[in-house]
Amino acid sequence: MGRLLKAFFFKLSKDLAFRIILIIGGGLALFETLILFGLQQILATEADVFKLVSGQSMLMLSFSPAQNFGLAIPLYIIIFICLEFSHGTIRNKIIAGHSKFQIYTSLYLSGLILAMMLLLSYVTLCTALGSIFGGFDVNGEAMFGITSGSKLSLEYLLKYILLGLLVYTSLVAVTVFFATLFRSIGPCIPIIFLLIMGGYYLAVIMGTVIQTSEAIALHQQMSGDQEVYQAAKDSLENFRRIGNVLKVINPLYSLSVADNVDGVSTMDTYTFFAGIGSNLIYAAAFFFGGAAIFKKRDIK
Amino acid sequence: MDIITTNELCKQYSHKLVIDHVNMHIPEHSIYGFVGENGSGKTTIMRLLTGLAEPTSGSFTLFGVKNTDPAIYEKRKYVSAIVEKTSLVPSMTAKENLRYFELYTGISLTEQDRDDLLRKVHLEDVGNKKVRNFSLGMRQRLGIALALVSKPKLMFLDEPMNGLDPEGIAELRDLLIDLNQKDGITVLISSHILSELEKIASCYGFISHGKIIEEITASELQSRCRKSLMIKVDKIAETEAILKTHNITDYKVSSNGEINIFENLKVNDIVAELNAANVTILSINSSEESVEEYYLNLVKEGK
Repeated sequence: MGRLLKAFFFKLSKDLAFRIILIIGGGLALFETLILFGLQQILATEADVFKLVSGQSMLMLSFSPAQNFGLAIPLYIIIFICLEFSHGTIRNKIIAGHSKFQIYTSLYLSGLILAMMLLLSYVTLCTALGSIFGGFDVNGEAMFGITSGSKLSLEYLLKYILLGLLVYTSLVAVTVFFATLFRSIGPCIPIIFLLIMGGYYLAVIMGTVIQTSEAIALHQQMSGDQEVYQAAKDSLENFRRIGNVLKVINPLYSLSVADNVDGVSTMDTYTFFAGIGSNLIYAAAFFFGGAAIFKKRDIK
Repeated sequence: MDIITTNELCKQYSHKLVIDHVNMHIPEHSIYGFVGENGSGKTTIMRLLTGLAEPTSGSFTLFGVKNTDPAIYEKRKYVSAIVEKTSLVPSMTAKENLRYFELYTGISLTEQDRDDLLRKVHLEDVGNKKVRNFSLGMRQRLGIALALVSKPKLMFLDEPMNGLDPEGIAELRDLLIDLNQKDGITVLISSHILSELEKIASCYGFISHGKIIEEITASELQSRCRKSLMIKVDKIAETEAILKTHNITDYKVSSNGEINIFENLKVNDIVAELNAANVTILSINSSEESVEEYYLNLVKEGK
């Protein structure tokens, strides 16, 4: 295994595409910050301070797999793995006496290392640039990102970062699964794209439905119409139940929706552990499922 | 001692049995020429033996270890192969490809070793040229250099002469003979250039439609190859009539007017009769059946 990983790092150091993707990541971070800063300058008036860019908003933006560079990471992993097949290096590794399980594990670990390297570089750069242009903004004054308008607690930040890293363990497992299944870039890219965007929008839509239902229920409670209030409360309960199921079956949920309690971003224990559990289950299922399929199939 | 033996080895794709109960024996330190038509199953057998494909049924042993035994992974370290295509990273140089191969095989070569290997395959002057800019022949030679990195005891070479110019073929032939004789490397080689195979193989496996039809050593083959008398004449019909009067039936007429007679005959009598019948003898000589002819006869007999 160590030999396979050493070879991976050597190949990575010689890979032009890796250098290109690092440049793209850097460029995107700068471009996004400047665009948001530009918008902020246009929309701000003398009477009303309007903030879009901050370290916090850029941190939240850059961690999501559904945002620009977050999508590029699995796409690069697909290219890297599919080229291992088309160049015949997987064949050579088998001929040289590596078991298929060792090779599959090394592909997964290589993908995970790649994802972490790219993600952490991108997040660090985005947060640094955001902080340069608008300070870190602990109070969430920037009207951008899932924690906008609420204070960022250390507890939430740590939970978010942990889940943000953990989501890549399952995302890489899914990516390696499809890359080794199809062994061709063509079909893998749309599948991964649809899975990530589907998971993200499903979470955002559900989060919005719950927040809107909460507002409606509160409004009806204030207006004193008990019958309508009860109906709104029942609907809210139903949406919350669906949301709770989604938290388990959609690993992107906890990264896409944040709760705001008394002006502070929070993540309840259920959401946090559902996020951990769903990511670990997806990672294990796709890793072992993929390894079993890889072991059975012939190498062309 | 056999370095590889297969036992009723089968491979089925969908409902088609492409390898049909194959029993092969590859002696240690031999150059085993693998002969068969396109699609006969040569490459599939190599893929099975190198672990790239799993047998549907049957088994094989490699260095005495059964294919289902986990110890086979250890034995595979003594194997190198070029099956179907050379496995190279196009964005790397020749030396970087060697280094990459070294890393995942756990072998450490010195810069001098790498230079020697590249010199051995006549790629010492490629410098920093990326493999994507190599010709087919250069890639083939680099593939062979990679196959030599691990100092293997067994090499699988599937059509290694493809893409090589005549000089390259001769060099590869000499290299394989050298590796076999000096380093004792066993080579399993398939090639469509049977005349080249004939120059290096110490034994042969003939395969047709997924079945091994014969395994034979080069010396046995030599003794079995039929001797023939080749006569080139201007009147084929008359010549055939004369042969029939002598009860000679085992002969073959080729399109260029040559008649290969595989039976013992009294040459003087035939020549006299041909002269009497005004048949001009353009050439006459004795020849021996080639590996190709032997294989074609085997396949024909099998049918």
